[in-house]
Amino acid sequence: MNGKHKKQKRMIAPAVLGAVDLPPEACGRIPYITVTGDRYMKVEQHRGILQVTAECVRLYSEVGIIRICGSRLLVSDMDNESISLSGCIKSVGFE
Amino acid sequence: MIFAEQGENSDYMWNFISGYVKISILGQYPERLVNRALNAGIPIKDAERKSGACFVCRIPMRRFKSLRVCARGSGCRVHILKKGGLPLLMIKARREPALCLCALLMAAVMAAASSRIWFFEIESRDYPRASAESTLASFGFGPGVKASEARPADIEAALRRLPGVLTAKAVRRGVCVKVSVTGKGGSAQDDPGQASEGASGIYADRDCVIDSISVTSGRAVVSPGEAVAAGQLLISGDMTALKPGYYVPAEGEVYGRLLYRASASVGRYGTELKRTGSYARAYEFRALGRSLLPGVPYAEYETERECSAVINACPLPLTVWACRCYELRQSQVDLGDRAAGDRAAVLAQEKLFDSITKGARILSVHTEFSVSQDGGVTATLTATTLERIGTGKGQ
Repeated sequence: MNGKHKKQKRMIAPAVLGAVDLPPEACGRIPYITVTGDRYMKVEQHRGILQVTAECVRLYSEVGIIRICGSRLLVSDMDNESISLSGCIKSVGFE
Repeated sequence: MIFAEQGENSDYMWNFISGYVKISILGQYPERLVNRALNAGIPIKDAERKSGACFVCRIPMRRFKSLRVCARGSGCRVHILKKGGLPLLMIKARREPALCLCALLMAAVMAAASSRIWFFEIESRDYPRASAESTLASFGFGPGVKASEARPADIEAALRRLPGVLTAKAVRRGVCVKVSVTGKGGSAQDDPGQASEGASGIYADRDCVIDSISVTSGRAVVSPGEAVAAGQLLISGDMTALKPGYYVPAEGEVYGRLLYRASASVGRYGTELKRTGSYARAYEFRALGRSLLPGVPYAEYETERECSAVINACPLPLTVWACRCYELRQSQVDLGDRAAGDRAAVLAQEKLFDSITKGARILSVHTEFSVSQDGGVTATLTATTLERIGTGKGQ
């Protein structure tokens, strides 16, 4: 019941934002991922890191776990809201 | 990526100013401590996992104590690998007050000295240099004068007051002022109406056809397309046509097209090394990039390798080649018009490029061949170049 309520709330907020022409990431919960080429990536509005290795970085987010795979991955900047990655990025996926 | 690099550069500068600490986090699950640090508001940079249980990152120096607090109960140990930044340098500097004081003193002296003029370089044409120096000294323009009191316009005005001075120009370069003075020269010293003899000018140093003329100061006497001879005036500083007694130092760039010519002859019959037909077998030994071919009975020979074997029994890797050495002898050959012409052109080209001035831009090269009665071939190369011509008077 609580999960259903939470899911409904999750679906309402982006809809409300869309109605007033605001981007969905403005609700502060949905992760915002920016990829520049295959060398640089920034993930905003994450919930913490799960795993950091040179080949794989996994992050918690509101929509689930974000998995970034590649080689020579380096976390160049990290704070409680955003994380910047550099290296050779091969794939980005959600678990 | 470009934005990322720019951001990193400004980030590193800020990190250096605020001070940073490079740490290693050892534990089974270092991500737990990283998450605690992020929740505590500690920014983490350049994080990477070095091995299974070792995590290396950089944090601001002032947040290290907070990280220590976060590390309690996380199951991880934190070690400092490196400290860096301006606060660290300040701490080291505090231990050597004399060095800091001297550095500050030097900086203050340099700042004070840079606001004054210390060198006056005087270049004079047709005017005694000592007179110009004494005039400047009498007006207070000497080493150590403040830059605000020694403006180039004031220096020029002071020198132009002298009766024998035609033009004066002063340029400031940092703590040095370069002054160029041109005197009226010859009999025109007393009669300004005939001062054109003493006016500065740019003259052609070689015969050429003018390609372009760009005047910075003075007036152009020639125009593009005109043929000029060496010593001819190109830019004149005589501006009396605009205003009686008005002279300026002639300055500008003049480019002209010049012709260079070179020729070389080669006889029809030449000598070449040719095989005589006889050959001898020999063995070539190669090791460490060097080769040895003993026992060849010819003075000049050509080698053809047939087969090889590598000897591994030696301390150095040794390759042995079985070769045929063909005897060569000088023999007279009929080069033919084409080959003789090519050789003559190569010789003529070497002569031509040796004669062309360095820095000249070659526009075109034209080759002509002629055959003499005895069959020899003469190649004549003509090159058109674009060069800067013109020198100031007195240079």
